[in-house]
Amino acid sequence: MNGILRTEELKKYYGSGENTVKALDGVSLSVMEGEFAAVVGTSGSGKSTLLHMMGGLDRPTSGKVYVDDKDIFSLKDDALCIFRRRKIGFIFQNYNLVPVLNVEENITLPIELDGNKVDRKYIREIVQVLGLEQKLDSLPGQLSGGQQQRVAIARALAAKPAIVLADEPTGNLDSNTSQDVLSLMKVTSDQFGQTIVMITHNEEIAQMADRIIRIEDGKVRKAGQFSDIPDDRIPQTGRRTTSRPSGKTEGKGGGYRG
Amino acid sequence: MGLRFRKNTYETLNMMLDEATSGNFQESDYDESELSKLEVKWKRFLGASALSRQNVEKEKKAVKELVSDISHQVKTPISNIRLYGEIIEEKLEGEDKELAKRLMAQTDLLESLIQSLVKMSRLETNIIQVSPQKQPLKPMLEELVLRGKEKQVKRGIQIVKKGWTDECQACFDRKWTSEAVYNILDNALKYTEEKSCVTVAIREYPMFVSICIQDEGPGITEEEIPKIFQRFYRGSQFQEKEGVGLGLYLAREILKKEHGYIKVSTTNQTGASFAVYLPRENFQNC
Repeated sequence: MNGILRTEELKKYYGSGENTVKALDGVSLSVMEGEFAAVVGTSGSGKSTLLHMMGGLDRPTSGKVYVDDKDIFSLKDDALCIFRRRKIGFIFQNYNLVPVLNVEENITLPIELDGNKVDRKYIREIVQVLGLEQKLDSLPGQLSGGQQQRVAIARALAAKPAIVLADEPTGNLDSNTSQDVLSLMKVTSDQFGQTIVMITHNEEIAQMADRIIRIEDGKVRKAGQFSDIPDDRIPQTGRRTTSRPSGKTEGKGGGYRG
Repeated sequence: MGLRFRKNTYETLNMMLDEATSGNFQESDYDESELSKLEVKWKRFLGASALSRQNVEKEKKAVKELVSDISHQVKTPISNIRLYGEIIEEKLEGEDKELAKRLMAQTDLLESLIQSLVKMSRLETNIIQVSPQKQPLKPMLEELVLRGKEKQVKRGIQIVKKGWTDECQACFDRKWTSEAVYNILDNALKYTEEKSCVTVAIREYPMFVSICIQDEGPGITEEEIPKIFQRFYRGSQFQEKEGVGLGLYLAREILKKEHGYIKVSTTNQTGASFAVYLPRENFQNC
């Protein structure tokens, strides 16, 4: 079954010959509609590059990305820009709200830019779930970091995109606020059936998602490749030996479903 | 003249489509005498889709109610089986008695399955509403610990309470949330090592409250995490006779209805950690 977001052998190489940097080296994955997936990797693992490819913000050296079954890189720049605006929502680490517009205007901006009618009822629901009802007239400068990020989430959800891409959404927030923002992303994903792909380097944050996709050296790390797990872990079960005899688990699945 | 006509038609078609998409399309809103031929066809098509969607919803609802009725009806024969089974068991000796006992165990399983199915179908058909209220958490947790007392004592488990304050409040439906959280606590008591600790910790965040239940059992692998919430899934290595694999599915559905969720952690090395998140304020009514 095709996912709402699919990548096929994505490669992004910089430079040539000996100096080639392989930011992405053949990434194929599939995200199902309504999933909340996390892409985890250390700095330089290729996760940001992957996000940029998935969002059509950058073109790959080779490989394809399908959003809602559309091969996005078959589109010319202008068409891609429009497609992106309609089909993809973004949440950035530094919120990126427009400082001269109030909360409500920030939320509806992408829809209005497209000349589309704003679904007021849906926006009201989103605003309620995100606890922003009292803040609709406020300017971003009057809000805390957590509140601003909530506005960014509302903005990303408002146009009902096929997918929402979040780049380290809690990077600028303290741990309590981070937990709240992640909770809200989870709740809205459940509530509105919204597909969300979040990239992070933080294992704890990744645990919030329904599924974890691990990236290392530009490749998706397959199940069974536990390169950084201490020796007393059994590769198949992935957990420490216990005194209780445990049967073998089937080691299928893992970080991603192909 | 031709251009303006086309533009008007385009706008009308666009508007009709918007309404159909949002489920608000009403055929009678559009007067046929004023619409162009194309618009008339469009209107008829959208009207027919709206009608078929209504029919599909009706059918779905009927099926769900049927399932609910059937599960309810099955309860009586099961109680009867149990009744006669117990009588037979008492009258038998030795190997025969053993067989009767095993029969009774299967009946218990059947009963628990039916109970879970009834609850699930009632929840899914919205026959029973989940109505969250803002209230203190501690009383519900105390009650749940009491419910699990027998199992706890039998296996020599110690329950550690962290962060339980009288002031801590959240927005939840007490009856259904008890059901959900007890499922998790029950699992913890079942799978943790004998004579070990199960910790129930409350943590408060600005918009949410979490109840975290940590056991000292074999834990859960990352691959298993998405699976455990599926209906009827039982860990492949666990040959427990009790339990039917619906608890977590039900728990997650309940929490979804309250604008909360369940999070499972594998970063704790020993045992499993389930955290239930509940909102602090009522999203609908505040």
